[in-house]
Amino acid sequence: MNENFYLSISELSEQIKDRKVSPVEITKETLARINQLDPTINAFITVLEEDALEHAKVLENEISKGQYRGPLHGVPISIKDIIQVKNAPTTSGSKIFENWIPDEDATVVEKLKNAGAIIIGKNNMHEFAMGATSENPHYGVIRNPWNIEKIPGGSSGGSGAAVAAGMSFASIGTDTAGSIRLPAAMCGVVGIKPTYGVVSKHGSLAFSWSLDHIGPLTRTVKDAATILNIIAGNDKKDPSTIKGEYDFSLSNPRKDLKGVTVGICEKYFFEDMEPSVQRVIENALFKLEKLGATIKKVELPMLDEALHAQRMIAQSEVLAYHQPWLEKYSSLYGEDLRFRFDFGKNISALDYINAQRYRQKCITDILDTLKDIDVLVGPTNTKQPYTIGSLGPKEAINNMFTLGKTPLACILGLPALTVPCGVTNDKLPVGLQFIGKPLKDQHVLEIGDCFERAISWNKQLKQHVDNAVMGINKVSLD
Amino acid sequence: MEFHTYLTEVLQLKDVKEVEIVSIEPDLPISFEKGDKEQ
Repeated sequence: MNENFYLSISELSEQIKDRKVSPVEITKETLARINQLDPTINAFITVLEEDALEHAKVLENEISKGQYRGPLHGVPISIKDIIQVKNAPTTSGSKIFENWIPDEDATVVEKLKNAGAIIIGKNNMHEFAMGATSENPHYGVIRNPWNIEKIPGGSSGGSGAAVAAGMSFASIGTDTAGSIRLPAAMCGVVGIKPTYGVVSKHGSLAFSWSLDHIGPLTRTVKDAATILNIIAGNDKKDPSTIKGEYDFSLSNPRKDLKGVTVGICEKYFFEDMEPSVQRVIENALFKLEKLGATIKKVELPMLDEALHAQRMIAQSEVLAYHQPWLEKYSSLYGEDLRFRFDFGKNISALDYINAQRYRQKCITDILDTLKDIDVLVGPTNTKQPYTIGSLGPKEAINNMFTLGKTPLACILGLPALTVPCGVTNDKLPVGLQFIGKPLKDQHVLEIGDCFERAISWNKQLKQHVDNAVMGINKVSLD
Repeated sequence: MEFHTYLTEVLQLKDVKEVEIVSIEPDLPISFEKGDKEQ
C-alpha cells in the first residue's frame, strides 16, 4: 500500500523535487484517500478533482523541464470553505451562499497557487465559522478521524480532520477565537494563528474583522512555517496587513530550549481542565523543562476584561457583517447561529466602543507583564472532543470558551501555535499552545518545532491515523 | 461572480451597498507597526 499521504510537506517536496513522486501521482493518491474516507469523515464540501488533476499535469510538466517553484510545488492542499477559490463554490458552510462561485482567488489562495500548491478541495466547517463543534446543519457533521463519534473541534473542523486523516497535506483555516488551533489540537495536528496583520484576509468572508486571522493547519511545525512563509505579507487589498518582509523558515532548528523562558499563567489557562487532559499537559511541561526551558509563573492583568471585550467585539461585528441578508434569510441559518445573533442585538454601540478601548489597555498591560518571557504556554484544548450531538444550540456562544483557551490570543493579536503533545486515556489528542509576542511568529515556531521533535509526534500521528483509518474502514464496512 | 453581484442578483438584496459587505478596518488597537502600515 502506497502511503505517500502520510508524508510531511517537507518530505513530499523532496520526493517531488527528485522526481521520485510526481504531482499527478500524489494528487491521484490524495483523491483516492478522500474517496475512501470522506464519505465517513465529511471533511470536504467540494472536492476539486478535475481542476486539481489538470493543475497537477501542468506542474508535472514544469518539473520535467526543470522548473521547480519551491517546497509547495505539486503539493495537494485544501482550503476552508469560507475562503474564496476562483471558479469553485465558496459556501462558508451556509445554505445562503451555496450557489456562490467567486471569480477571484483570495490573496492566500493566489499565493499558494503561484507557489505550486494544488488546491484539492474546499473543507467543511462550522456554519459561517461561528462555532467550535463543526456540526454543520447544511453540509453534515464533520467527524474526528481519531474517533468518529466525536467532534473535530471548530470552526475549521474539516481542515483539521482532512490533514489528520491524510486527505490533504495542509489546509488553510481562519481563527477568530480559536478556529484554527482548536480543531488542530482536537485532531492531533499543528495549527498557527499568526500575529494580526501578517496574513491578508482579502477573499475570506468575515466573522469579526478586527479579530479574524488566517493561518495553516499542517502535520508538522516545519510545514506550518513553510506555508506561513508563502502566505504572509502586506496586501493592498487588506488594509489590516502589516508592511514588511517575513522569514519564518526553520533553517537552523534548535537542539534544545536552553535560554528560553516559558511563562505559565495558572489563572485562566489551567482552570477547568479535564483530569485526563491535565495529565498530558503536565507531561508536556515536564518535557519543556527537560529540554532546558526555564518555567516562570506569571499573572496576567485584565484577563477577564480582555475575554469580555472579545465577546462584545465578536458578537457586534458578526451582526453588522450579516445584517444585509440576515432578516430576509434568517430561516436559512442554523439554530445556534440565530441564538448568537440574538445575543449580539443586545450589545450597544457604547459596549462595542468600550470593548475596543479596553482591548488597547489589555494589550499594553499584558505585553508589559510578558517582557521577560519568550512564550506563554498552556493547553489549547482543556477538554476532550465532545460526542457529536451533545451540545445544545444555546451553548454555541460559549463553546469556544469552554472547550479551549484560545480566544485570548485573538483579542491581543498575538501569534499562537498549537502542537500535539500527547493523547488522553481515551486516545484523543491534546494540543500544547505557545503564545508569543507581536511579530515573533518565527520564535514561536522555533520553540514549537524543538518541542515537537523531542516528543517524536510524527511517528505517533502515523500510528494513530493508521488505527483510526482501520476503525473507519470497519465502520464503513458495517 | 463577484460577492456584491451575488448579493444583489442571486439573493435579490437590492439595497445592499458595497460598503456594507467589505471589512472596513477601523483604527484598530492592535496595529503593532502602525508607522509601517500600507497607506
